[in-house]
Amino acid sequence: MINTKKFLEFISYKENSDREGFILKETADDNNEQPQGENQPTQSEKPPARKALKKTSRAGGLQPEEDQVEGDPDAIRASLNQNKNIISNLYGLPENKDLVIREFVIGTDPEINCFAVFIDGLTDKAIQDLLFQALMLFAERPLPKEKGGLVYLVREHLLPGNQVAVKNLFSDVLTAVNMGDTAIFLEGSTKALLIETKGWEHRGVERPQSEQIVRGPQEAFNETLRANTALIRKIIRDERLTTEMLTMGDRTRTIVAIMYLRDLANPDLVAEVKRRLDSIKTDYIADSGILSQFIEDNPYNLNPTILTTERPDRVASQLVEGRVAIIVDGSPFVLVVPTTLYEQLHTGEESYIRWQYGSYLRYLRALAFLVSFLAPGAYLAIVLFHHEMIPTELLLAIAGNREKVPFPSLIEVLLMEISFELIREAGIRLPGVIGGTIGIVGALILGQAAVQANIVSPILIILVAITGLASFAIPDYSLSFALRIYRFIYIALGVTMGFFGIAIGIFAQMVLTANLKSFGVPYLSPVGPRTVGGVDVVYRMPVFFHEKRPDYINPQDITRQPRVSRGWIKDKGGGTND
Amino acid sequence: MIKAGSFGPAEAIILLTISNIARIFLPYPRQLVEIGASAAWMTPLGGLVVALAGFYVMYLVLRKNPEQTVVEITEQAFGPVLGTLLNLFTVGFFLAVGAIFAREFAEAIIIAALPRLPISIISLAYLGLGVLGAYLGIEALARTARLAYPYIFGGILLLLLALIPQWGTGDLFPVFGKGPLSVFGLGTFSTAGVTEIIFAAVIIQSMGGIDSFRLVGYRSMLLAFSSLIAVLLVINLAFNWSTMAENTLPFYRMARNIYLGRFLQRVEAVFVIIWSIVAFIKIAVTLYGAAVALTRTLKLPDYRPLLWPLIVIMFMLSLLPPDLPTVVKLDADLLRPYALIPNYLLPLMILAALRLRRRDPREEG
Amino acid sequence: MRKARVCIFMLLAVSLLVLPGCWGSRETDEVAFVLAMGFDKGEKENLVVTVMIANPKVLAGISSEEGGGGEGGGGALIYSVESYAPLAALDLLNTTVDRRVSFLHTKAFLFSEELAREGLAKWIHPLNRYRELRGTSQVFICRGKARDFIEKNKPVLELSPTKQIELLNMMSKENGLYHNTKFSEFYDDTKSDSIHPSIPLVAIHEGGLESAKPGIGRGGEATPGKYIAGEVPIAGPNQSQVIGSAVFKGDKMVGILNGQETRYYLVLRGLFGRGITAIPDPLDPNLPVGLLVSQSRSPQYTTIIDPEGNVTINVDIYKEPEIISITSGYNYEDPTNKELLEVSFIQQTQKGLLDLIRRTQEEFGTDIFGFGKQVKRKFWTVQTWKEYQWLDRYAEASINVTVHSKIRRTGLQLETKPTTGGE
Repeated sequence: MINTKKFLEFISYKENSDREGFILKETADDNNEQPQGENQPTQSEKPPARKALKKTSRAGGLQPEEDQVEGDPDAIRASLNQNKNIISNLYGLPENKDLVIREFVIGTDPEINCFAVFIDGLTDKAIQDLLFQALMLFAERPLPKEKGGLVYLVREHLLPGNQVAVKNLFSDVLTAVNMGDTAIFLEGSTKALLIETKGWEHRGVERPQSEQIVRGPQEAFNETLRANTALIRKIIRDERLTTEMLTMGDRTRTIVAIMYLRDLANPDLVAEVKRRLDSIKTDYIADSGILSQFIEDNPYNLNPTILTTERPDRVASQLVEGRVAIIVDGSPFVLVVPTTLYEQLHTGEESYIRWQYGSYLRYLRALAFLVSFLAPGAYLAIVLFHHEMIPTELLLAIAGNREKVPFPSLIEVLLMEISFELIREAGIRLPGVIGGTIGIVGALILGQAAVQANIVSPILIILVAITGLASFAIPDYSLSFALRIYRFIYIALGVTMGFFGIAIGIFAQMVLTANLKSFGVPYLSPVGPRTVGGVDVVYRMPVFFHEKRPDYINPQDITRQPRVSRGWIKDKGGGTND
Repeated sequence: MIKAGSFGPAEAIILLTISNIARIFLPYPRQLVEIGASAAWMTPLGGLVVALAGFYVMYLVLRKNPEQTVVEITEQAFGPVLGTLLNLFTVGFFLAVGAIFAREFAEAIIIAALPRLPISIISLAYLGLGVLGAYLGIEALARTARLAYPYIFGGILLLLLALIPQWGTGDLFPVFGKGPLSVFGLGTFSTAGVTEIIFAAVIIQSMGGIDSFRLVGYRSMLLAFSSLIAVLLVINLAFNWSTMAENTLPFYRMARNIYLGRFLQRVEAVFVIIWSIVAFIKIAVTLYGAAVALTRTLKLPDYRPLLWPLIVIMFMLSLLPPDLPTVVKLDADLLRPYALIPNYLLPLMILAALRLRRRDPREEG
Repeated sequence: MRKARVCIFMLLAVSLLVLPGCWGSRETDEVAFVLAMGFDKGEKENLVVTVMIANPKVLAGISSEEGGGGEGGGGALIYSVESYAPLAALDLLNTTVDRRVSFLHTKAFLFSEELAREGLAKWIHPLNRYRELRGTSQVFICRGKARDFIEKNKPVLELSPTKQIELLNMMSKENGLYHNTKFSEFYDDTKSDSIHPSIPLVAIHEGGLESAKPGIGRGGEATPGKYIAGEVPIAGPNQSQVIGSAVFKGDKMVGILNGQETRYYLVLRGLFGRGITAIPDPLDPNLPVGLLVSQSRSPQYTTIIDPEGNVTINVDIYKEPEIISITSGYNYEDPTNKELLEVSFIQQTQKGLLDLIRRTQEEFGTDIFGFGKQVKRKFWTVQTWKEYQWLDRYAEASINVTVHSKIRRTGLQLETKPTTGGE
């Protein structure tokens, strides 16, 4: 009885399954400046701060503190020695060599004993030198009477740092110090000064590694969150561009930024992104790749439902359509949600070149998309099942070339496909100088030798090479992976059932992909389901026709530019010969 | 509750159209050529009119209760016992369509492309993908149809255009083929047997409710019947009807006859992909129809547990007929007349019953 | 659970290697592709089937041994089997050919004249039904034995023999001396109630130039199409010829048209592309005027059926000749003289067409031109059309032909100056 019940539960549909949970609902078109949008920032700035506090206080509380006094254990004490002991305990001094406690005296009248706390390597030494100089050498003011005002005096009159905060909780101090700030504790003050001295080693802004284009900006994100947000804000200089921060990962305490245009992005979408991010409990988030796996809708489908890019211009163009970007500190790849398959086949370059060339590129890429996963499977289906399909001369040429090959076609194809994948993988891992050449040399030599040794037929080399080229033409790294795996499925289907097998694969892939959602947006929109606004899907219309933002994102304001965006064609005023 | 999903009229039109044109790829056009001879292309005209009228009648029925589907309305009209029986009849119709189409498509694949693939494997593939499609729901199916339709219609169009060198008006005559009675009488009878009216009435809540029902119905029927007419017209233009009537699969024969020079020929295997995808959609759609109709009849919370039993029944039914000619005969002699009952007779009966019911209390009062 | 999954996956992977074999997959090197089939009357059994099997090694250029296979035609091996039906030969062939014989790439069917005169229906039915064979294959009637033709046909220019067939098919539009008939057309026409089939003739020409016929100055015809296959005086490496047509009544061959008649036939069907011909000079009948003729538009038909059921068909033919040579040197290029040539051409063509129609009516009794398709338009239903029995009545139909012709161009010359030496 129980078993049958369990079985029934197993095979029956569970209500309110999570993947049905969020659907981006239609909004009223053209309702810009909704009051809802204005409320957004005040609501949303609270949670990250609260969250950070909660987490760090938990971490701090774990440390045994022998000399606890009444009141909040987290509060900063008035005694400099007590504070020093607490800090030492929290960081595990003296074993922990990263933390530096610098004791010094402020040269006021009377002198004040202080110590500074910072982590070696995360701070900018030049700024720190300036700070100590200012406090120790140039401070010659009389001390005010009230003790509580001490920190404010130091902050307002003595410290030249550009961001100085006053905190009275150890948890805040730890968070800041962990981020590279310098904390200064003063004798007799229950508050600590936090001075912005972040300055760790990092990469500069370089050219994109995996998304090169010819026309268009050549900047890529790097590992520094602030640099990344600045790169985006450099393109969208709009006060409505909102960056929210929250901390994730119990151990890494990674800062994750959510960026969106306050008056454009659908509030439901922003709320959903924050809901998903807030709910994640893990210890280690080092890269946006890990985060994306936590928040994606369909982890079991091969297709990626989150767009990953390292190009600021790409993110900016998506933000002005009303999407949301998620930037993870320490990751040069930014996530953009929601996304569609068609977005993943775009590079941004099509918009920078004229529309005819852009459309041409898109069609080329559409072809590459099909070839990259279908070609070997279709080839096998033809040579094994559908001999009637190819022209006689071509068939006889294929047959003739295969005469000396001792393997069945399947083995032949697998051999070459796997070699090609190996070359590809090795080309990435091999150290710099050889890496680039090994791909070409490896492929050429291997192919040539394989043909000469009669292990594979020459036609197959062409096929595998074309398939490989096609998969390199897919701009999205994850999507290209998916297609590479699909390719092997199609090989299996083509080998067993010919074109019927291929048809099975295509249908299954279509249904499964059509069922996908990326943050409430169908993955195949705007084609399946059909929505309006198809000026930039496969073909790209001239820019002055891009009047609407994509409908499936349901932005607060759908209009991107007026119907006549080129004012000069209407008013035929100056400069003519009339 | 039943995972309804929802999709717009664009997808609904395409879904119903693809479901309807599945018959083009089967031995079905052969029957029309037999009926119409040189006027085969006229045979669907009568069917089109009837199908449009059928959609209108169904609209009248569904308007009685815009929140519900035809299944509930049937029950309201005829009471729980008779209503449930009628609804089970509808479910049976979907099963029969699914089974016969699965078998016919499987046979077609064997004849056309893969003569040595066991039929059980092909049927399993069809039915397995049918379950997959139906399990993911009508929304995913509609989107798939929307994705596939440029290729399906593009493929058909390409095929028809590729035969232009073989077109000739000579075989369009005599104009009325086997006589107006045969062309318009028998022709209407054989082409009016569509599945889509009742199917659209069952999934009405998913495809945007009563408001777009007529639009979707009319457009999809126009599109589907014009495809059928176009195919038959090209058959008449390019082939001698008497030999075309010999062919098991007229569409395949057309694809085989493409000859556009030394390189562009022998393309029929490509059409196997198009066929199969249409077949997958068709079978998934009928399975979904059967499951949802049964779920609503029995007032179950979800249709998915029903998919397995229904697919097994469909699979068994599809393998029951001993040979292809029997299946073709069943299609023509049993399925087409059977189709008339849920699609045309049932809505008329509901209208009559509802009118009687309404009149009764009035007379009493 | 996970282990089970891995096991299932492995099983599937292994089955990939095993299953395809039993589901009908065949490597290309396990199949012998038949490129052409010939059918002859057998001595003891019904039929001798000759197949030309492609040798892919030669085509891929890797056959070093026995290069003797013949110059050019070496890409093929020829087998003959005596059997009772076309497809029964398939399995018999496999007793000697180690690869599965496949008809998927059969491009031509050749029937010997002897077989065709007995009727082809029983042979073509299996060819239409069997899925490997295609309706787009060409059909030829072979004068003499089909086996001899396949053996002796050496398309020297082509690596693959099938290319010869496909190119011949295209050349039909270029010279009009033969017709190209696809198998499906032939099959349709044997069953049609409005047209009789016709098939191009092929033959091997043994010998050289001695078969030439007298030319225009010696009492012969001016046109190059006065030959039928096997008679054209050509000496060269390949002895096969395609010219002329075999006329069928139903599935039985009843007669032969020569090249010129085939041209008239194609003109009447509107299939004539272009061709070089000659007419006697209107002023000096012993000298030819060369013309490059093309059909400017398809023929127009007017059909009249009187109450008794007698049919009158008026056909308007539109042809555009272009002068390519004037042997006499007379200035036909001049617009006033041009008419003379046009009239002569029209008369000649009209006579040729009428002669051909009369020949088909009286001698063969077959409507190879498809006039039935025009007459059909006058009927409302298939039943009345069938009752009318057109194919039997064809012989009595009165058919009139009007040729409309204008010489539009005169080639690179607008005038021919006489040579000085001779006078």
